[in-house]
Amino acid sequence: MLQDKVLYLGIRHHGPGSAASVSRALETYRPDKVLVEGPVEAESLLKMVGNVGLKPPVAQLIYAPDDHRDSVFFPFAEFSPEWQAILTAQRDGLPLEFFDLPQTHSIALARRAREEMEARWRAEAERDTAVDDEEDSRDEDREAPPQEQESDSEEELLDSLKLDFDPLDLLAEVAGYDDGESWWEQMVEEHQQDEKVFAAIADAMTAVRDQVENQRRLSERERLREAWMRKRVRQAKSDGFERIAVICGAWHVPALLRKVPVKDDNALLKGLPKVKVKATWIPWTYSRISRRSGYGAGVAAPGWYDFLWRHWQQGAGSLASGWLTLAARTLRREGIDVAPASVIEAVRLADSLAILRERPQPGLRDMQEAIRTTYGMGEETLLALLEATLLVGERLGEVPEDMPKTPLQEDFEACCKRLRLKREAVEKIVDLDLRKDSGRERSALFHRLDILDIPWAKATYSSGKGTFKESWQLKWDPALELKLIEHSIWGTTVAMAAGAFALSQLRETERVALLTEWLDRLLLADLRDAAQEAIKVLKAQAALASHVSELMQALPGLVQIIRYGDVRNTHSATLERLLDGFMVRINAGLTTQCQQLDEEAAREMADTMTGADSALRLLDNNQHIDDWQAVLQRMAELDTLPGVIVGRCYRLLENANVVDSGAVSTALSQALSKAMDPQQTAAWLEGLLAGSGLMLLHDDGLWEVLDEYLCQLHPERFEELTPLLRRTFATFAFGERRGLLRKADADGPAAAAQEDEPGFDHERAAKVLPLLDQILG
Amino acid sequence: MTDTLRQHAEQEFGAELEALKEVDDRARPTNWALSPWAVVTYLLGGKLDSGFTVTPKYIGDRRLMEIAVATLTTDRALLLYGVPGTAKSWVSEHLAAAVCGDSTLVIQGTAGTSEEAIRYGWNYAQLLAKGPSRDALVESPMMHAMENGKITRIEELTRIPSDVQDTLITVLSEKHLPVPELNSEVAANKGFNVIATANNRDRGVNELSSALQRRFNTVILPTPATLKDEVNIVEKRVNDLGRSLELPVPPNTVKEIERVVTIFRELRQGTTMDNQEKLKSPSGTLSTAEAISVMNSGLSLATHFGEGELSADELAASLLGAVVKDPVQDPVVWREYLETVVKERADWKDLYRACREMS
Repeated sequence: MLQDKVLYLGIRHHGPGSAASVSRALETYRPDKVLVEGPVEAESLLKMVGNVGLKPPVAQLIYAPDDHRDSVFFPFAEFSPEWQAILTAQRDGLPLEFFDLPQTHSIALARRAREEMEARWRAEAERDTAVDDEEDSRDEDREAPPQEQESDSEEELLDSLKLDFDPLDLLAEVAGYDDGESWWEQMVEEHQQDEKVFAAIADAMTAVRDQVENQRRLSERERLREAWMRKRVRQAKSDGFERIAVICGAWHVPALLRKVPVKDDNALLKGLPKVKVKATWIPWTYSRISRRSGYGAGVAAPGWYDFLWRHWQQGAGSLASGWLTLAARTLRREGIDVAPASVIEAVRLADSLAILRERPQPGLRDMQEAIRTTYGMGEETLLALLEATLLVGERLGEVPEDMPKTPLQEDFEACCKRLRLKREAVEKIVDLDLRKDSGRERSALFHRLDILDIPWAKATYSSGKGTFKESWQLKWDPALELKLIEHSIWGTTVAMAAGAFALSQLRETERVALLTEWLDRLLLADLRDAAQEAIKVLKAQAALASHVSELMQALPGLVQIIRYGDVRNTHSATLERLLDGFMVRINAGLTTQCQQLDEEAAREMADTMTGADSALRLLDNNQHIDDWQAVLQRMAELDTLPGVIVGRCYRLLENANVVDSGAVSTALSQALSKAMDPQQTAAWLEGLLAGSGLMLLHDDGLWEVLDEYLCQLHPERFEELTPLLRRTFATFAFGERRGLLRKADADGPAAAAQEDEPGFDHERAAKVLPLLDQILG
Repeated sequence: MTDTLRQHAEQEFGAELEALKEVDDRARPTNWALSPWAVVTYLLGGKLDSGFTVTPKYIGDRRLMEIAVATLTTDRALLLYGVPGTAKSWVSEHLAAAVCGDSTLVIQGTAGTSEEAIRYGWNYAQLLAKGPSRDALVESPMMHAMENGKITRIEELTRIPSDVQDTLITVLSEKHLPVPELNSEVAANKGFNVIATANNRDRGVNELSSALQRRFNTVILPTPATLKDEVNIVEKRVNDLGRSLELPVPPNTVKEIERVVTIFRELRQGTTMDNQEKLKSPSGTLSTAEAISVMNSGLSLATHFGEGELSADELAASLLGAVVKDPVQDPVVWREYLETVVKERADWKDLYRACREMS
């Protein structure tokens, strides 16, 4: 649309048809100035375009260095019209300007809105006396992105960044299509057209905007942005440019064409707030350009657009045969057999469908239907399989190494380089040998990132034996780059940031078990200083802990650290002293704490005791074990303790061979005697056996005690006890119960099964034995 | 009006086909009676430029019909696949009628279908008298269609024994039917193609070999997407059949159709229409076709034994028969449905009572 020295090119972001048409229009129009929708701060990044290291998909990341929550992405694929415009401008040496509202203002506005909102929550929270509600609502609100809160609650305002309808739908409806996306696809994206198409788009979009703006107002941000764009166009004209090309979303074209008095725009743009922002390129992926990722200007099938674009660049062959062959090859890689003959038939079907639907060539939907009909025998499943790999695509962009970066990013990259780790979007398993320096350092890096909540590497099950091996599953997601930038506030290196971040987190917790967990993570991440600090915090908290159960819960973690610390050269002496302190306090306080527990708490305590017991056995320190078992023995003789705890004491003692099965048997029959409260009896049994069907299965001693006891019961007593026993046995896994049943069968009347069957002729049977011997070797 | 109980599609809708032919100026594949566009219009209905209104034959996804018609223009044959009663044979008949004006070249697939039914047979009197000659050859519908460039329909393809199915491979890939006895062959003319139907709920079927599968483009016909669609289908078919069986259709039929279709859809999906309650599904398929037959037998009962008004009593009997296919499990499912869903609906009291009396 040419108007007063300015050619307006309304595009769809990430539309290959738009991109091709833009290139062609610029070719014929020969502008002397190019204005592209985008923030002026990104102009400093333009010199990188054309650098071989910068490979789309990439995104401009604009962020406020003082608060990383304030950041914006502008993704570009190779087939993005803006990207092509930039390339053209660069090639022809044209002055190019990003003429959208500068992010210094946009981010400031968003921040102001957020702060106002937060102030409002605080005010509301103070009014609200119910503490629980306050917590909940604040948590929820904090997660909402700042833009969401701008809208007026009474009225839904129009804003192109978050439209709740597709403006193209209105046009498509007139043209007889189901939805705007497929209409635009058919009219614009799947064809390369000359600049006349832009006049048509502008006309159509003007009609759409006239209609929707009659019903709803534009949001403040939208008005500011469009006023700013108009201002920059005017500026370009007054700078003396004669042939200006404007490339922006089709939605904005009508607003730019509108005659708005200069002073109105200026008044609107007066006194905008400002913040300092920085800009950089970061690598991006196709899956994050797809609409499913939640990206507002996203497209349904970036992989398809990529294919279209490349196809046009090469300019050879039929579109359908190219795409359908690609689909067939993708499916074959997935192990699905697609015969070449089927590809030929699919191309024919797609062509026939296009003719039937009176289109010049098959579109994506025609081809998807051909795939379903010919490759997939009419079923949808194949299409779902192609969705991620082919339609969306897995391409990961690259940025050159000499990008303006945050110090943290730089350190991270240095680490990756030093440790020879590549960031890739494809999943990859890395095995580390912790006996080697490189293995240890890599492991530490992964653990540090884990602390920073950057899930690049996930620990997975390692098949090898020994504790010196670790397996990690690596998958890089470009959004993690943002997290790195976010974490810059914690420090300038990955180690510093991870340490500082962890300490800030663990200082907020009072639970000893959680603290040991953090300590473990710090040690794994090889952050000695932070770990020292964490031990101090842990000591202080342990002293304050009012319940020994807290210390006992922390025990397994602590033992784990001490036991396996030597692989990582950790000095565990400090920790051992800490553990000594723990044990003294546990042994002293346990009996008292077990006294007044209700049923549920007693059950929990019994499990905690089991955990502590196995931790101590792992530690293999005789002094500690002796002291601990002495406490258990004392407790086993106390009638006042809850049954479940006493039962558990016997189990732990029996496991450790401190008491013999005779003692357990006696205790058991006492516990099961009629004088006992049935509740207490049931709890006792539960304490002894709960969840440990396997133990009963493998520990013949325990088995005999129970078996002997049950066998000598009177029938009536047995009936009374059955429900109590059942309650415990029901906690065993199905397989364990089956195993127990077999064991019961084998022990008792099972011998009968070996008796001779009547009429079995042993001599005849013996005759086949030599033959069997021959067959079976 | 003739006394024929049921006319072929090309006779019943002859006027529509003529009207389409008149306005159809799009390119026609060789030996096709209509262009692909006109065939799709014939199936889905619409108003022509000449002002003539074509009735819809298939109510559902337009794109599926487009795929089916487009397939017939290619080298591959068309396989219509789906649960019973999703209008596979119906679509196949109308496709054949619209494409070549002849829907009668049918091979019915059964467990006893032999190779002769697909290739050719012999007139043994002639064969003995004159020896092997073209005169002694008895053409199959397939052979006839090949020679005349028409469409053959194969009903229930998967019921045909596998070795007989494979006879089709030569025909579909070579487009020639060899006659070794005469040392000659029959070549297919342009326009020849095959439409097969098969259902995926049948037991004891012979799955297609992958060689044969590759010669078909498969279109799966789904059960109707919405309640409205399904009610439309049943209503249309009930009216059509009512006319040909000379059963008057009382005015309250639409309301009853809605109830029957609702019951069928709820039991088929295993949830109530408002998605609030889970239901057990009976063993039968509860297809749209069965809903149509429930309505028809209801109408017949009302006309001949009732008071001309379609009431719940007439429907209850055939509903029970349609839902209860397995004598052990299905009565339980049906009773549960009656007690939990039908009973709760205020305006379904009559139906509840009638069904209670039946079961």
